[in-house]
Amino acid sequence: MTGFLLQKLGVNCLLLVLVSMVGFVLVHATPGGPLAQFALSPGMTSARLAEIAHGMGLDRPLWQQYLHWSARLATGDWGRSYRDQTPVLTMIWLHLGATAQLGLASLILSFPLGVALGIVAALRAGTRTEHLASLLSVVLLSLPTFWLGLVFIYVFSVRLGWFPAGNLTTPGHGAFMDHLRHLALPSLTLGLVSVPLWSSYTQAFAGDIWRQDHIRTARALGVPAWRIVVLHLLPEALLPLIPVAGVYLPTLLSGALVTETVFTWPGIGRLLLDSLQYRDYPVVMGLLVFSAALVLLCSLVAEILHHLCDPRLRG
Amino acid sequence: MTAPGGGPVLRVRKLGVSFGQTSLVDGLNFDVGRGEIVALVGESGSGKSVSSLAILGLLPGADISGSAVLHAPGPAGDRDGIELLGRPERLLRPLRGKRVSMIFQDPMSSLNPIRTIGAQLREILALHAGLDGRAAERRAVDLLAQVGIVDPQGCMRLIPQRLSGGMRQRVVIALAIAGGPDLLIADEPTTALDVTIQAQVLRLLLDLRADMGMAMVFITHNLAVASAIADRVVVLYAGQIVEDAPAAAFFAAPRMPYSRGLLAAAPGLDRIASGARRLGTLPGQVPPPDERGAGCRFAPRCAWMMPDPCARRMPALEHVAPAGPGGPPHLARCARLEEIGE
Ligand SMILES: Nc1ncnc2c1ncn2[C@@H]1O[C@H](COP(=O)(O)OP(=O)(O)OP(=O)(O)O)[C@@H](O)[C@H]1O
Ligand code: SF4
Ligand SMILES: [Mg+2]
Repeated sequence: MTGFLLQKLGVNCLLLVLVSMVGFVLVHATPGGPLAQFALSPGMTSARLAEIAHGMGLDRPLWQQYLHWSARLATGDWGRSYRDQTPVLTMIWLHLGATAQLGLASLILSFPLGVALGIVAALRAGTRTEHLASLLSVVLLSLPTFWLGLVFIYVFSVRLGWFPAGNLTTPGHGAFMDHLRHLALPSLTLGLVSVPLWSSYTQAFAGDIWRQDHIRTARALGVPAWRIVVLHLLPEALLPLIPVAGVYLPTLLSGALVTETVFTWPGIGRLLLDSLQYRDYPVVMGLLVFSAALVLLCSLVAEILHHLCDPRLRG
Repeated sequence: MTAPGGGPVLRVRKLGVSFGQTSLVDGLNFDVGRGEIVALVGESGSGKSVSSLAILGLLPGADISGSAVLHAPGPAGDRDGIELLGRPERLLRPLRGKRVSMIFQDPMSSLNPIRTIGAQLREILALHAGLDGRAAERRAVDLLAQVGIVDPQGCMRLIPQRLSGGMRQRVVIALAIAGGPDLLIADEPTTALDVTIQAQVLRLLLDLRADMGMAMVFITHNLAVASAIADRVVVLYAGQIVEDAPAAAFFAAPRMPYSRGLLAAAPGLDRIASGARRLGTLPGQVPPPDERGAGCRFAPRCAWMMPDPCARRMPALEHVAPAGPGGPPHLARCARLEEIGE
């Protein structure tokens, strides 16, 4: 197990390097650049621009820039934002909280809902209930996030006025309840669109298990139906969800990107979009490395967790 | 073997199972006496599993007719039995595992793969014996010892993956007898095991019958296995009983042509030969449920077949020889019993 993990860790580090290289090239290859914003300043001369570019190291060949950047990254110096000279790590850290809240709140909503939906569909295979559950999943899956978000804003914020439409807090309020009210619509949006992820996997896993002999044996020995579902079926169906979660939890970040934009939620997604707009290379690259590391870390942690939880995998 | 006092543990009458328009099994009548082991034999698709699942209410979506009475009243009329068919799940469930248990063929998949043997036994003991904590633990270890697990204490902490097929089937049997049922329905419990293990498990089941007086319906493809364990043989063909006889009489002189064919095709009845694992060495095939004629269902494969009477109407399940008073009956379904003789 330890050998396996070490090997995996090594592969992951290599992947990380690769991702950062490709990302670096792509980011720098996109048209426009961080100098554009300076170019518009009144009284800007090309000599002055060249000076700024030199100060940023942008006049050197790309491979040199990469080496310079990655060497500093390895020592923990992720660079500073072009926009306000805030260290990149600080910037990510400041926005991470908002995204984590959004992710967690939507997970609390979508996971139980999706698992319940999947279990019901699996137990009622071939009946109208299953078709209804599948239909619900397909509908939720095909709803564009931004559209759902806008509908929620229109209904719950504009028409009904129950929840605020954006931002972390109302200026001047900042109390816990106010914060929760702000969290409601974005997490509902992100939560609903991620329900099908959990429900489809749960349905597949639970359906397989439900047809197995040990379920029939439990029934033939008089174990009550609720016990079979809750104590026999559910734990066995949840186990393979752990690696699935490891793969998909980080991809919620991309769902959060749209949600954060619609709800002006100051999270990682917003930070990325803003930084891209300004060609704020250090921040963009920092976010890229950060999310890649997150993806790899999540799958590694999920793997370990799966091994710890599933008695069949324990050595 | 009919135990004194009371009627049979299970009395099945006119059991019919169908899915929609397709009738899988019809008009099944048989009794299982107290402590008696009845072998239910027949080729694949003859309806053995479907009938037993229907009796326990484990066949969702099926239309089930007839009657299956647990603890049927005897001649003395001592007490009422429990009608199983049509009994609501709420009332049926507590009987399963306590009054009647059922186990299945594949020991590899019959146990929950992620719960320890101990947890699975404790669950059944809590349900049916009202035991928990230390008492359940002790009883579980006893049960494992009773089914021949060598290190019962150690076994409690293992998950099924750590056990061999034979050990797992022993654990399944321990679960099935934990509630102290009077009847065990075993659907090919030894088919998936290799020959020596098969013999050991049969031995165990016979011991359990002797110790607990538990009756059994033993479903099998294998006549050698049936002859090793059964007191009585019930042969199923295309959803019908075609012969019902005491084991000794059956193996000495089966009367219905299908049974004769089976027996002739089964090598080495004296030992459980692996070559005799499955029936179906008979030429031809069982007609599927939707291709059954009005006459004898075995007619297309029968060497004694005569268009009249065989194909004209369904022969009845009749007494072969006048059984002495109180003697075990021998029934066969064939229109030409007399002509064919012994
Ligand atoms: N759920 C079901 N729906 C429809 N038909 C079924 C169902 N289960 C079984 N059958 C059919 O009922 C017939 C009898 O099946 P059954 O499983 O009882 O046979 P069996 O005697 O147990 O055979 P085997 O030895 O292969 O286990 C078969 O033709 C089978 O296809
Ligand atoms: S009734 Fe006729 S066809 Fe059927 S088993 Fe008897 S002899 Fe054969
Ligand atoms: Mg079967």
